[in-house]
Amino acid sequence: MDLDRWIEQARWERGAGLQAAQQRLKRCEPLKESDVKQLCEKAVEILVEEANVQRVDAPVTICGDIHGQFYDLTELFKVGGDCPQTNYLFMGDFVDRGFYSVETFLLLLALKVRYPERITLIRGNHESRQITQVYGFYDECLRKYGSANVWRYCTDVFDYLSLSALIDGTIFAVHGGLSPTITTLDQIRTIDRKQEVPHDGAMCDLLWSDPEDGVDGWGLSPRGAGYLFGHDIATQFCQANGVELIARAHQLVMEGYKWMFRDQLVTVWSAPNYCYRCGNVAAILELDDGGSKNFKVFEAAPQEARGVPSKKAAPDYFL
Amino acid sequence: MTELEGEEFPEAEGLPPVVFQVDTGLSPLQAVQEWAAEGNPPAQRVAYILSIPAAAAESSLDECREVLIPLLSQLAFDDHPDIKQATAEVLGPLGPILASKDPETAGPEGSADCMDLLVLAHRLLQDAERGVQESAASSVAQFAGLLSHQHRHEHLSAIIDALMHNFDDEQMQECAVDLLAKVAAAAGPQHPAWCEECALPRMVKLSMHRDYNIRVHAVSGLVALAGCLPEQERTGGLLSAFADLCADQVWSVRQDCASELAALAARLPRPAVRDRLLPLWAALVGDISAWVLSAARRQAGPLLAGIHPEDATPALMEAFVAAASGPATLTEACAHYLPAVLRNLGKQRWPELREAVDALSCSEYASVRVALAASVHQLAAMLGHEAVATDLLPVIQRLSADEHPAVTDSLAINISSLLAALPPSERLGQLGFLARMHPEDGSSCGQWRMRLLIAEQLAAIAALLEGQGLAEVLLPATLRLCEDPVAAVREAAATQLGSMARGLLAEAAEGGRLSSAASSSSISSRGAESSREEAAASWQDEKPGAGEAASEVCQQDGSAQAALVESMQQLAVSDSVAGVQQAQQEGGQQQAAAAPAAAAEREGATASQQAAEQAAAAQQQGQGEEEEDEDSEVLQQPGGQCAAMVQQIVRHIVELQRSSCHRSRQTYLLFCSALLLPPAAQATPPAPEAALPATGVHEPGRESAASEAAQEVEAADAAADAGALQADAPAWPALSAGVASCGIVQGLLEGALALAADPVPNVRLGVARLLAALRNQQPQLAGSNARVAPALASLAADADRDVQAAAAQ
Repeated sequence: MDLDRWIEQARWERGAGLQAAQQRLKRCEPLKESDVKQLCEKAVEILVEEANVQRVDAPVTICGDIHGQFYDLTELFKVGGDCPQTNYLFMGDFVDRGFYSVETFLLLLALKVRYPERITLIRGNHESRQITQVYGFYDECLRKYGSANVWRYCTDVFDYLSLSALIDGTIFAVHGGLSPTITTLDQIRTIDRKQEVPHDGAMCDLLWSDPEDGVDGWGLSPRGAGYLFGHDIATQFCQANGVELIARAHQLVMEGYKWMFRDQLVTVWSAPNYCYRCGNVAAILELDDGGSKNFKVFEAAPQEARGVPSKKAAPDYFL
Repeated sequence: MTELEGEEFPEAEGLPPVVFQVDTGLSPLQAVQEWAAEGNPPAQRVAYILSIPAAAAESSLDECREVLIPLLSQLAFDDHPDIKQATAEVLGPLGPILASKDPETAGPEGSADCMDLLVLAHRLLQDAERGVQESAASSVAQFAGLLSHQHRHEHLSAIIDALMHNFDDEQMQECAVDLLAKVAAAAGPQHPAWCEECALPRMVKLSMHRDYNIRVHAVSGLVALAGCLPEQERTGGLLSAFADLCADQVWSVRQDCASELAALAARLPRPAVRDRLLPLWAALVGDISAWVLSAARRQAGPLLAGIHPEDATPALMEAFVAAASGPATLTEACAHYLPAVLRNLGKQRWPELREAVDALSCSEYASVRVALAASVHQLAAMLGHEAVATDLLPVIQRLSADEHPAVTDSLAINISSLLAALPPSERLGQLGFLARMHPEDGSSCGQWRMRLLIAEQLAAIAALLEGQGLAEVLLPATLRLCEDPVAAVREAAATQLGSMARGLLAEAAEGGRLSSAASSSSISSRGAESSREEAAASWQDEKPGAGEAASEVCQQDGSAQAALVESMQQLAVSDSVAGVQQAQQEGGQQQAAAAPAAAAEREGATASQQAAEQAAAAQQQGQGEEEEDEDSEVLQQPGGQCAAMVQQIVRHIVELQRSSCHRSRQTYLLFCSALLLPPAAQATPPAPEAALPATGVHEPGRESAASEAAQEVEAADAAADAGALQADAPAWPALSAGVASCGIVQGLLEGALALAADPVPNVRLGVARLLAALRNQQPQLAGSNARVAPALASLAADADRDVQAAAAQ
């Protein structure tokens, strides 16, 4: 019997192993493959219990896409406060495009396992096997671990991520947008989400759709998945479900956040200087327990706070 | 979709055809053998090749020899450049791993496995790809020291000779220089004989190569070798070869020589530098090539920073000072090396450098002014107060008023060190930026990293300020930082403020004992008792604005809040303004003594604030009459001033506790944690720059207290980091009895206890952590308050799991 491993296992179950893992992740040191496996298994145990429309109470800080920009995620925590002192809702797209998707997702997952009531993770369109093979997460796992095992563990977790959240019954948070096949929140609750993101249908639309100012009703999305939806659709959805605001991510906003549809919808983007070249600022939306909303806008982590990126030429998925 | 052109749902045919199949049952070595071999996708092969050192570390020597060496032999001949590159990279780290497994490595035969790796490296050193060659050379440098003497002298030298004698391909000869330099740098100090007998003759020969590129490479090679040769060889053949290169026909060779002068000077004995190297610099600085001349001028700073002070020639000094007015690259170099030059040459040479500093501060290039501003605190520390006041202060003032924010930011980053080096009377004038650094827009975080840097220096800055500057400039800025939009800034400011307050309270307690009069203490008792019930009732009536639940909580815990009010009044009456009240009573101003109780009666929960304000006003009044009233001298004693400042802090902090914003309530808890929980002392805390001996008239007691506070904050951070992974509990220093029993401390604790029923779980989590830490680290203080244990028990049964866990720790 491997006594050391047994002890490590015991420490893990007491939370000490997880704490150590969290410390390593905060320093952007990769976890061992076996630790990743355990972390993912524990995360699945928690996520499987969550609803498709996960209930969240204010105060909470809403965050948009992170896209593997680990050092900017640490900046986000400095600006918004560390978890568990601050509650967080991340609206998906944790991985792909950035250099540190593995560390980013595993840190968020470790926080979820350690503080399940303090952080909520919902699924983005990049939390998918197909997309991560094209936009970088798969390559990164292979490069850092020498095998696809870590990618497989993580993508298995993706299937258990919730699809949306409802904050204090009045703010609906989703990664992409609405779906023509969804009129009520109960319809979202009936989706069998434990699957790869399909190419069409309600689950796909929630993760892929975009709001569009010039559109009435539904429009064809140039992304090839999901739909464009207009002001009228958002209004109908809000009225039907008693929702005051739709919070979503999915689209780069140079100013970090953008109100649309007469403040019925807001896009929050939390990856500053997206892909290390877009020059945008990032934002988080702080919802107080009294209902007030405050945006915090911040810039990318300074160069000296970042790790040295790969010396090889950037792959073509960096735009 | 407007911005993400190109991000589309991938069509099925556009996807990679298969996901790589991996057998998790294989051992690391078996996995390398399986997946790094030919036939697998290149990316997967590269990943597994790079994992070879880790696999070797987990395998036996025999397994490595049977599996890895044959595999690497194949890989070294692979057609794919990425495979060869990865193979070349892993040979270096693999050498020491294999050698550590072989007991015969320590013998005269050295590591046989490293010899095998050298053979493989030889193949890769001859590769057509320059990247493969460079990686192979770096790898050889990593295990060259593990080769036997014979292998190093014969085989390694033979490989270098083979590369050198490949006359048809100059890239091979460049590789030879690269290999010689890298091996000399890595293994040379342990094997000087190889450097002297094998490396030096070859390097000298390469320095005379017909191709100027090879000669350029030889310049840095000679400098690397200089560090590992006996002195005689360094000053003999090597220096002669370098001198020849300095007179080379090609300007780029001379330029490289000029750029390496300081590095070579650091490796040569003083006479060689003085008699041979500095004349070379003098020749190069008069070169006809502008590139050579510029490179030589840039070396003036590094040379002056490294050579013996007596060898600093007027020409060198002149070149360095002249660089302050030259083009941007020269002036930046001058600003960068200025502190090092002054440190090396000594304060007595300052008059020669003063002109350069003036010129740099007026430079048209912002980057130069930024560089000067970033190092001016070091100059000030070296010069001393007198020279600073006469020569450097105008420069600092010019930089402080610079129109470019980066310049003032650079000054602010080291503000505590800069203040420490300034005469006390000049310190306050440098803090103008404190009022300008806060963000104007509520949503923008602005230059929050700057504010964080300042927040982390608050205790050190406080140690250097007089009472007036502290109260009127630093404290307002600190209190505003406690409400900063950025969490990290709030946390740093609250933590520093808590530590500062603890230090001030300790002094106030001490000062109070020294100056307290029987009459003042009796006044304070009466004042507190008379207002206690009224204040408690008024607090209950007050609606704190934190929601209905919070209001209920406050009503339930009215007595607790009343204690906070009472403690504020105690502070106002007994601690800080006891002397003032006594003076006022004797001066016929009776209303000040009754002010706290009256305020509590009128304004309910705002009693504490008004009482404190009136007390502060009374304090100011008392100060105005100090010449007339002999008792007002009490206020001038350290204890009185400290208590007044604590009062100013607590008055604001109490507002945070009562805020409707849960983040403010969390900041209050952070302040309490820093105040109530002195961190475990470090064994030998490093003396901060701010603690430089100052000759001013500032109060040494408070300075030391605040310096300790700054160290404590650092220690707390270190303890927090270490604490996560350490099982052993450190020995926590007990809060001094004077502070622990102080009314303000008890009142703040009551305020924290009142938050145990806060509607926001994150706030309750903060309370649970504070109380649990208090129970563990300050058991006497926790035991002195009867409500701590019930509150912890209540939190341990909280509906929130995190709160439960924190309370149970």
